[in-house]
Amino acid sequence: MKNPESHREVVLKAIQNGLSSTRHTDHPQEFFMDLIPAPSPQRIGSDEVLHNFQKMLELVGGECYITAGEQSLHAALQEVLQTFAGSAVLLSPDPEIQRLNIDNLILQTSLRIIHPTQQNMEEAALAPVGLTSASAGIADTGTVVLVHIGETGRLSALLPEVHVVLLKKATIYPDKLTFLQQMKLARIDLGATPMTWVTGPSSTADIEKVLVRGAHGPRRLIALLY
Amino acid sequence: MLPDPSAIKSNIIEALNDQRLRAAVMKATDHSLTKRAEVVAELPHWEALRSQAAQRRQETLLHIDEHLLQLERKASEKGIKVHWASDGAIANRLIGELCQAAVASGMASPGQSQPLIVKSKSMTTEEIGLAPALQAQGFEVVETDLGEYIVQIAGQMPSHITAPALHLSRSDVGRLFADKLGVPYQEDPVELIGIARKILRRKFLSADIGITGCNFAVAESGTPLIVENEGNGRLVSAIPKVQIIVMGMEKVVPTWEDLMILLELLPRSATGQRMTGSVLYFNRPSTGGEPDGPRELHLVILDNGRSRALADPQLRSILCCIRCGACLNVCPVYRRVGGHAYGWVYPGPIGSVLAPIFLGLEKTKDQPFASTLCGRCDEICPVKIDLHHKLLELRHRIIEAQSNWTAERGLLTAWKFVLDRPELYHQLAKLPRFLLHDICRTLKTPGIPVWKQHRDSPDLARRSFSQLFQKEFGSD
Repeated sequence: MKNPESHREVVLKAIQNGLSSTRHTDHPQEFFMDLIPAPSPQRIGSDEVLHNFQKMLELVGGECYITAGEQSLHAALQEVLQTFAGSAVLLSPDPEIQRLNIDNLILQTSLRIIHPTQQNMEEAALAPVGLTSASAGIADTGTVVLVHIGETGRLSALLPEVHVVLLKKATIYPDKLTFLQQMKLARIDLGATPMTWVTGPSSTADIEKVLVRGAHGPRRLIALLY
Repeated sequence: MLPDPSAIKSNIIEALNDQRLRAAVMKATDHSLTKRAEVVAELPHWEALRSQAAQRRQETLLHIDEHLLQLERKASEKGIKVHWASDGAIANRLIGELCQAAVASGMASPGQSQPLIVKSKSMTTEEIGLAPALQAQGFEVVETDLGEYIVQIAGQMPSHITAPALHLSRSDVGRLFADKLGVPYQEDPVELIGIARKILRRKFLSADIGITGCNFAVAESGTPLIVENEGNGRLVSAIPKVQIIVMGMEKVVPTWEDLMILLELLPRSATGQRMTGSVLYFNRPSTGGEPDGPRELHLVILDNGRSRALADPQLRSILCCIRCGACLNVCPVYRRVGGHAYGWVYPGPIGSVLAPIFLGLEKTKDQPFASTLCGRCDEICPVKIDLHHKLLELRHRIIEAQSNWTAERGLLTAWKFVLDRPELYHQLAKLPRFLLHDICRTLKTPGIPVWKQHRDSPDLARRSFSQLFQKEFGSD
């Protein structure tokens, strides 16, 4: 077998030969793009944006509660978790979850905390609910942005039937383009860290196009805004 | 029905007689089109978006080598191992070696007798026959997208680009599950999906290697990504310690702005969604301290015929395709015969263009003829590929390549000869009038069969329209 380097050369050569007759510039074209549509004029985290987020998430089968702030978030979360009393909750110990002191809140309930890893998955897979924070929200599609770095893994949002996600109002952007622009302005490299955009509970329509919520991932997605 | 793109004619005749199949395909494609129309109507700038995407995709192709090299550089910097494969056989061998190496290095659990590979849906891996190739090397390969899982256990090919089991009814799936999985027969989709979820969850939890496709890869940040709905792609890229991404090289996009445009177009065109259930950005392998995700992340960049399309200015823009499957949904041929009749992984208008490019004209000479040239595929294509012009172009080449069409060629040469000479054309144009008017009337039909017995030939005007026009308005 030829070494991998040579396959690379074969492919690149095929491309270059193929394009040689058409390509008249020998430097990459300057990419300048007027985006259609322009990013939304709505203000990030404004009531209008929050309500749009809620509406769009509900349209795809998600649940969304807009709380008054961190205090009422705790109450709302307690209410949600009560349904699962006596069982385990998967928790991503991300910085925001720690800042909000969620561990403490859960300790006051009868739930047991599991930090899921590739090692304890068998046990983790039995938990009915998982709790994570989200890094951002995108209103016009009802999308939550999950970033996987350090201890913030993927499994809490993925293995259980119910995913509860905590989302700061100030991080809800009107649309993808605004999100992208803001990340660029803040010099945040979207290519640096593994990232998942989640829009609603998992679903499939593979049998006769009948939409069924709850395929391989969560069946319910509950977003708590604070 | 064995996959064989040269059998399309006989397959179509067979499929046309299958009322159940036709009903299933019609119903499913109608459903997709209705949903698509709803969410497309929400965007007043839809047409502008399509134009923008088409332009950007075409520009990208002209410098695709530079974009791929940037992708390679950026991805490598973040620890993604990038590989290249000029064709499917090389890709399959390479991926087999990666899997073997994963087992040897202990990344895959050594306790298992047969290493387990879980796959998320990928048409590119179907195209190169990756799953059977890995099975032949002793791996257990499980498709985890529900539609793909159904066709895998049925021993079939996907029949649609985005809805692999679209040709099967709920009772078909119910019988299949009862037959292959030993569960009681039932046909409630919710129940059936529950059964699949349970079985596949066990597979996910013990999987050694995950294989995904690649919907796009952002060059400027070295970011391959997939879109999916079921959560299976998330599990495939969260649990196994090794992940292999198989990417058709035309999936590269220069910037995140390009990606945002395409993410607006793809879910709406494919499934009538504003956004898919998840978009997974495979930015880097996970590090030792992180609780999940692949420790080893490979990206395989595949040519397999794509550079041939690139070299062909008339067919090049077929590489703009983002595999939404909308052209299948509107195609009057696809809607009546389904995907299997085409005998290849990519059915419908897109498949009939790709097949001759990827597989050569010889085996696929009937593919471009499986079209009415109505042009609805062009109208719906989110990146404005002129599919029906490409089908025409391929038809032209196929006919040109055939030597046994002397009769047709002779007739058309004669026709061209006449059309090139207006005077001769006018003289000959009188011939049908003479035949119809004079011969048919005077001969009183001895030779012309039953049809004429109860009909008179029309009483034609003495002069033709052009003669009258000439007389009335002509300058000379």
